[in-house]
Amino acid sequence: MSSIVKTTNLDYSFNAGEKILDNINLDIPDGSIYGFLGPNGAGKTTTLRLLLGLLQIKTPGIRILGRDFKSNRISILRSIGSLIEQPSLYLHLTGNENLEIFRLSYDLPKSRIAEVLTIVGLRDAANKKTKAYSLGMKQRLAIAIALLHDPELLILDEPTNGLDPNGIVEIRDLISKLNQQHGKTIIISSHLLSEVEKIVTHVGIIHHGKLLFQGTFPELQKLQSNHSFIEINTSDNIKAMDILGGAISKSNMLRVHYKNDKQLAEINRTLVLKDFEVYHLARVKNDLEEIFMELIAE
Amino acid sequence: MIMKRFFLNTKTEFLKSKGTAAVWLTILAALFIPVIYAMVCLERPDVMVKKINSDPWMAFLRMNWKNVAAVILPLYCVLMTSLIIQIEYRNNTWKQVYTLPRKFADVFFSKFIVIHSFLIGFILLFSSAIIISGLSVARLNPAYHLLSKDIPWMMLLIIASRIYLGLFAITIVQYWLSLRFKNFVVSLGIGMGLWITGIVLMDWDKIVYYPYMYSTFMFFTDFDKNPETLVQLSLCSIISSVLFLTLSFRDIYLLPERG
Repeated sequence: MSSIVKTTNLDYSFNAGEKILDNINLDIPDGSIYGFLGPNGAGKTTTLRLLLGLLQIKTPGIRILGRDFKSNRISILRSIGSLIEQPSLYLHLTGNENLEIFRLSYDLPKSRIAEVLTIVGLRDAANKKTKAYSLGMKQRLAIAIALLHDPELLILDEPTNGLDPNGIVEIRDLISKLNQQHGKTIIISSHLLSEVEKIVTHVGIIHHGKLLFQGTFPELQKLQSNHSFIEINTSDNIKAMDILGGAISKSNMLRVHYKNDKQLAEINRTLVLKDFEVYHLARVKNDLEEIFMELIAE
Repeated sequence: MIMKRFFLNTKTEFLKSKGTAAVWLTILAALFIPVIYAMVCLERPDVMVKKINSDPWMAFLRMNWKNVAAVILPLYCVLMTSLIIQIEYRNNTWKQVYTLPRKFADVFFSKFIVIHSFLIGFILLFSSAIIISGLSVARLNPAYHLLSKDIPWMMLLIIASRIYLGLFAITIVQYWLSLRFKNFVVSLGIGMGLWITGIVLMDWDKIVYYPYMYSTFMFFTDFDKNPETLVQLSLCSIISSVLFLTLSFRDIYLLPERG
């Protein structure tokens, strides 16, 4: 797979000496759904803003569609659709009028408006003022705007932010459809792995402005399984810690690394056979934050 | 091709202002004084007939224009410019504008054209309202001799053009402030502060270099007696407009963050 986005040693700071991004080397394959993950304030939005030219950098270092962004900004932007943070809509205008504004700017035929409204399922609400839309509808209209000029690359910054579970599923399905049926490469940022794990093919994890992991989703899953823990509370945690090699104490609990369910059962059996009363034995939810912590610790 | 894109983008900027407060402000502010004077003339013919009838249309024009040139139009420019730019801030759409394949100059000047179109729209609507107001007053009360005299179109055009030129620099400074500050109150507050400062400094001998007073002087100065002042005011207005336009374009272009 060739790269649609490639950054080389990308640094950025708002104030001198305070690096927001530190040596970011993104490599996003063509045709992928790239989950760009990190906690709030990690540098996701700053990176995406740089990719779109909303933040200016003096040095080159961003190549999109094989071309240097700085010297080809206008032609590259013709091939990118974006949704950064909240949807950008003119709330006093209807859905149709919002699309008309962008249609004129891209100089597209009028028929394109109906096409994108069909893709996002908003044909019936096209003549309603967008201030009357639900957040999910606003997100879908914003995606319709991003799709209007049929871009090769879609950049969606936390598109499910603030949506109810139903809205999240809708947007997720829409993103999958855009990738599979319309061939779009999609960069989707999120602070929750669980929100995007069902659809992404590739993942980049950023924390404190540093790219800690980049690879395919199966590679991340492998990494995740290497960082699985259970929490245990027994009648005597200090003694239990000696018996369970490598256990650490955390918040009055013991934390033990495990690789599979068989090993988990074995830990339980060991404790019971040694006459410990086991009050609590549970998998630690292996979310992104936990992986971050482990990656940072490494 | 570039001009076609610029034309289309300017059209989109007009679309964005559809049904906004800027439109209503333009209509209401332009009609306000002519409606007020029509009512005054109809209510107090005992005072107004004497005031107007020596040179009816010129007196009626000057009566309407004096408040608008000195107060309403400078404040309208301050408010309208902020309202137009706030469309993007309020809807959080600057980032979408700057991720369109548009050059910075395209974005900057298409919005500037919209602002000036609103200003020209105000002046045209106000001028039409003066004529309609004068004709209506004379029809309802024949003591006013406005129907029997010719409308001084040329004088109306001259007054309107001079005042438009006098307002040019204000619109640029306000455009700059509105782009620079997300908070509506900042550009509005600075604009009103600069205008009030001008009123306070009215007797200052260097006031001719103060753009916020140009429209007032363009109306109140007797250019028959002081023709050199017209040249000076026009030159100052043009030079300050070019200067502020260059500075504002450069300043906004060089901002490290857009949207």
